[in-house]
Amino acid sequence: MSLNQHYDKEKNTLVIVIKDKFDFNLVQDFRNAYTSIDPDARTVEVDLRATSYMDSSALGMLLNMQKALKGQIERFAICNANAQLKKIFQISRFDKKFAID
Amino acid sequence: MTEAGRLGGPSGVTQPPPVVLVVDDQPLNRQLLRSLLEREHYCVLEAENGADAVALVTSMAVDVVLLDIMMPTLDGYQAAPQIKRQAGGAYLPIIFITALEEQQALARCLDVGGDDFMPKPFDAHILRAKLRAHLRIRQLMAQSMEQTRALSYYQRQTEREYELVEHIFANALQRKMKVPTGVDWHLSAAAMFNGDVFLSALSPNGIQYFLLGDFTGHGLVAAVGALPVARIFYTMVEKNFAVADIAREINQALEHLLPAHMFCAATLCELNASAQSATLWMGGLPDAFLLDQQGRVLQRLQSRHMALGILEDDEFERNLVHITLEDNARLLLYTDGIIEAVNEQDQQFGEQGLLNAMAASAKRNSADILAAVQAFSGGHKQTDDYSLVLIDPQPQRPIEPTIERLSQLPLSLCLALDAQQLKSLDPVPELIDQVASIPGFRAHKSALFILLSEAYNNALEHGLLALDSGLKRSDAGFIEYYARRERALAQLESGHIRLDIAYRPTQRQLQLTVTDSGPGFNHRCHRPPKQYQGYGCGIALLHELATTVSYNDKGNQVLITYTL
Repeated sequence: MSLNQHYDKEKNTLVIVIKDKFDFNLVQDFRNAYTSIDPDARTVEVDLRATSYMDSSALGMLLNMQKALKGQIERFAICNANAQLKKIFQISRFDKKFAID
Repeated sequence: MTEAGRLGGPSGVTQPPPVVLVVDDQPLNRQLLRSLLEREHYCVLEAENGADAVALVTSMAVDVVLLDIMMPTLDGYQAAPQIKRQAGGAYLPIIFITALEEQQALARCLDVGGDDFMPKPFDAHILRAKLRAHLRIRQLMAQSMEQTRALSYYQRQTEREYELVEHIFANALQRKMKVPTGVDWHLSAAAMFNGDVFLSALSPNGIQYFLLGDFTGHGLVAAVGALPVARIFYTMVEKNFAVADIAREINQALEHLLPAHMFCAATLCELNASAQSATLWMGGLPDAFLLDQQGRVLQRLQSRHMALGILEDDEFERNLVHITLEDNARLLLYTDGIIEAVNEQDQQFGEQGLLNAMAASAKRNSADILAAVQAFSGGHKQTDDYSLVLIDPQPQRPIEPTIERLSQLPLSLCLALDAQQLKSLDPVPELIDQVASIPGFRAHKSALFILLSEAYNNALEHGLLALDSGLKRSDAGFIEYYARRERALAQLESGHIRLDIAYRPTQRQLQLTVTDSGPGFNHRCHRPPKQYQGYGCGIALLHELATTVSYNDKGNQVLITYTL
């Protein structure tokens, strides 16, 4: 399984953890991860600690999620990405819509 | 062995008789004592004065000395301390030969090192009794010295072994990994080895990890468990694993390794690179605290789990404590040794004692707290390890891959994939793994993956499968697009994609050429979009990351150059 999700009730946060490759193969899984999101959720964190690379469809997936949930979710975050991926998010101006740390 | 045998006593036939040195300037006295002693089966040596006596004690094995006081050259008073010095640590009894009227002299005899007196005229019974008594003491002293020697030998050996093991532990517990800044910690051991362990490390992605653990008991036995804990911790931090995963792995290892009554209470903590939030797995340590700079409690963090090494793997619980770190918030972790430190009245320092010490003034450090614990407990013996960790979270940079020297070998790689291969293979990750193995390329792996995957997917999706990117404009369309891709690819009967990768070390350039057998597209209409729309961000990113991107006239070939 290259995608895990869990919901943290205390923090009202949906955490999506992606393993290894974040690419078009995950399109359906990634969408499923947030379609039935808890109505109390206020934060979505995409944890890339175990992601070594991604393709441009990953950026598309993230933006689609952000568009789909922006009415409900106050904070979108991309966490624990490696330096190279952070640079790609920076180049793509993702920091305007996501908290990158 | 020889010493003890010789001291066996004059009656023993097989043992050599004890040696008595008779020191007197009067030949008649010496003769008298010799015959008296030889009758008791002692071996007798004679000296005429103190100087000869000292010389004899040095060169011969003497068990007891009968010493006259008034002699030429070196009298008894002067000779006694020299004889004692020669004997070293062994008990060599000196019995002064004294006339009964010399009462004044008796005290002085003892002062200079004499052990007893033998009044003249000699009484055979008294002499025999005194000799036996002193020889018995000499034998006991010799045994005691032998035992002391053996004990100190074992002690030195144990110390040497401890030093060796300590060295191994120090190496095992400290890796050459970068450690997070802003951490102030103290471990003090109740025994030579710590039953407490503190590990910290920075992961490649800049995640900050901490582990404070307290094994049951202390000393060597407790410390043994620290080895697998450290190995698992560092290995998993290297791969950016989540703390719950690390805790689970350690739990499994300790459960397997340690006897049932031994376990490790521990808190594992991870701070994100920007130090804005923390996640803790807490098993069995006393409550941790989030404090402000003045030491006031912002949040109490309670342990939620059993200590590591108790539960079976399928019983393990991953629940975590998540905290948001306000500016200047501090995290305080400690083991129970601190709060259970007792004073002379047998009162405990306690959690309140610790919090009071933290709030005594702003920005207290571990040394302040330790001083407070010690002031409280006074001279009372430390019975457990005192360990304390204070974290002032600081943002950390992800570790940049070490800059390697770029390979100087020109290299080219080309492959063509037919329809069958395009259906079944996912060539980009494997190719990128190969390219990234060229010296100096590792730091560019993610960028190269994006470039090659973009070019390859464009060739496949648009060149061969004729999919329309416009679909990707909507969320549902995005999904539909990839569903169509899958269907179209499954039906692909003909066509091929050719990938050419060329590395030119002199220009520090990598050239990626992707050619498809499709009809081509009008690339002139394909401008990099200004805004990052979901569907267009691939092309835009391509232009940002690559040095040049160009297409052939037909539009079925893209040429990307990337500068390393």
